[in-house]
Amino acid sequence: MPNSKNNKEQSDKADDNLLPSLSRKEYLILEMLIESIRELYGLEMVEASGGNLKRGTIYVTLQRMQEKGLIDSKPEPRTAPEIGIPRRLYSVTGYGARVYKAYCAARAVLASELATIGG
Amino acid sequence: MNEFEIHVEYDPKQDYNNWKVSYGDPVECFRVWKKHTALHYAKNAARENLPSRIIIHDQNGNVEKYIEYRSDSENNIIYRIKRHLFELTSSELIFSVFGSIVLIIILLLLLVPWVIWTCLCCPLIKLNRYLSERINAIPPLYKNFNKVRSIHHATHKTHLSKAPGTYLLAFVDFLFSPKTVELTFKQIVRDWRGEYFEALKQGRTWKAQWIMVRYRFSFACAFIKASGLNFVFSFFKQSK
Repeated sequence: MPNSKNNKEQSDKADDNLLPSLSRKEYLILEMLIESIRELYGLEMVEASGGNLKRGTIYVTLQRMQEKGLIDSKPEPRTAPEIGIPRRLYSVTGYGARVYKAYCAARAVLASELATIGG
Repeated sequence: MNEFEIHVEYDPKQDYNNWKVSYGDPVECFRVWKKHTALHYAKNAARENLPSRIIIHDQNGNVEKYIEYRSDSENNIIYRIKRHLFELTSSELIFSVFGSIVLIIILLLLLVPWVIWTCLCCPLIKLNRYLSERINAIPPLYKNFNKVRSIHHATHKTHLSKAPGTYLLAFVDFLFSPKTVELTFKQIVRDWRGEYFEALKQGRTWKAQWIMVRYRFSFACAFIKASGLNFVFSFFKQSK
């Protein structure tokens, strides 16, 4: 039993060292959040994506990204007393920015490697 | 039809009741002492002269009983007893019962609306008029008091409908965790309501209806993805 426990811990550490998985939509969301100066609403991201993100799936993706620690969200501040559900503002975390940079670097390396192989 | 009549006759000489059986035209008759003997002779004669009928009178001369004898298609003698003149046969009985039921139904159909009208509607209308008169009799205290309508005139009810997505939110609240509801479904409903009310504000009713359809579809997509059903669909897609 202790051996199996140690093996599991080692595999977890190895997973931590690996680049976290990032889908195309998650990459797109991170890109938009990093490039924009301010925090964004979900609907703004849908409209800005030009059809790559859908209304039905973006919030599920955002929730999963939030659970991964890539982004953070908070309810919009309200100046006047309003009724109804508050919208959430999404911003990228430091970890999310690092992951994005790592992905960009990995993509650049991969592109150059592919170019050399192709050349 | 041959008729055989059985009467009771008092014989003053012997101080005894005789039973007389009379039949035929011209009338022939014979007398016996006992009723069952008279009946026996009459039955034998009636069976031999079909169709026939035995009429039994009581001591007062009234008809007590009829016994009819007939033959069917196979020459079997059939007979039936009528206890009095107005007794009904089975077919007559069925028709009379059926007819009386129909009559009762017709009467009920006529009576029930009348009862409802007189016992329920009329008192309510009278009460309504009375209340209307009382309301109209109150002096107007406020400027817009005349806008208060009586029950008699209040035909249109104010219709309040819930905001879009209320029932769907209640449904997913039952199924998913509060975190998922807060971060996913409430945000979709927030956008839904925002766009819907904006369209209504601009007077674009058809646009609002289209938003309802589109966001219902989006909600369904989010439901599938949040519940993990999309993996099932993708598994089937891969298996194909």
